[in-house]
Amino acid sequence: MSVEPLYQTDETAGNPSRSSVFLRRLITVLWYVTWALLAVFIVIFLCSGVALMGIEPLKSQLFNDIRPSTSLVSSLSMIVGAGAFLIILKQLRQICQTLVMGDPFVPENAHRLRIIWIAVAIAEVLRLITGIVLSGLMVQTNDTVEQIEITLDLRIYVWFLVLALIILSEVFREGARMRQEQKLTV
Amino acid sequence: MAIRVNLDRVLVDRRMSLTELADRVGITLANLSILKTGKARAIRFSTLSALCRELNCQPADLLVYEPEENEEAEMKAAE
Repeated sequence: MSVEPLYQTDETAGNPSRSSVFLRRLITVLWYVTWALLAVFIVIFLCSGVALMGIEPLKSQLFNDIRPSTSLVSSLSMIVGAGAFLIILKQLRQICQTLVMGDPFVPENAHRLRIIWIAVAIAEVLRLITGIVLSGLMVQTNDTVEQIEITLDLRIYVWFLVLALIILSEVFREGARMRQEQKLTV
Repeated sequence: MAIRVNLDRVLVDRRMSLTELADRVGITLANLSILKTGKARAIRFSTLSALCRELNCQPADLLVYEPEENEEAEMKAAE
């Protein structure tokens, strides 16, 4: 009588699926694109800061249609958004790495999903705050009050996504526990 | 865990090495070590059956139930 080998996934570990390899490449591309965008946002932020301090040539040449203060807040918001996106991408890269290795059901992945939902939630809260601040700035420049209503939009689908991620992270935690138990079944 | 595995004692009695047993039973040495060191959470009937066949013993020779301290306290409290 033969007994089934315990670590059946070891045979497939060396051959990652096409989809996991594709995902890993996609995330790597997004990773570098986001870093480039972050650099652009930082440059805009610095230019806005310099213009806000009253350097006239920069103020008149670069900020004809938009006020430097508005640009400063917007670029800061974009920097925070890009930062959150980088945190999420880093976690996704590590999750993909475990997928390629052949065993994604590890407790670390549950923790990574937790970091992702926290990052999404924080980014969304910051977006709302930025919207309110920008509305205030626009009101100061005698723009229409309607813009306050526009920026106060609560994106329900984002909070739904956060909820889905919370559930997924808990499912992963339980899955990792079961996987550990299966590993220790002889 | 309240279940203790007596594999090392049975192996000594049979004068058999862990490697030899692993070869005979058809499971990896790593898995057999998990079982021997008491780290295993569960054992398949197929594994137990193969071990008993190769060691010429009964399941009770390999597995011993030893209630843990808190388990005993719980039982006394229930009584």
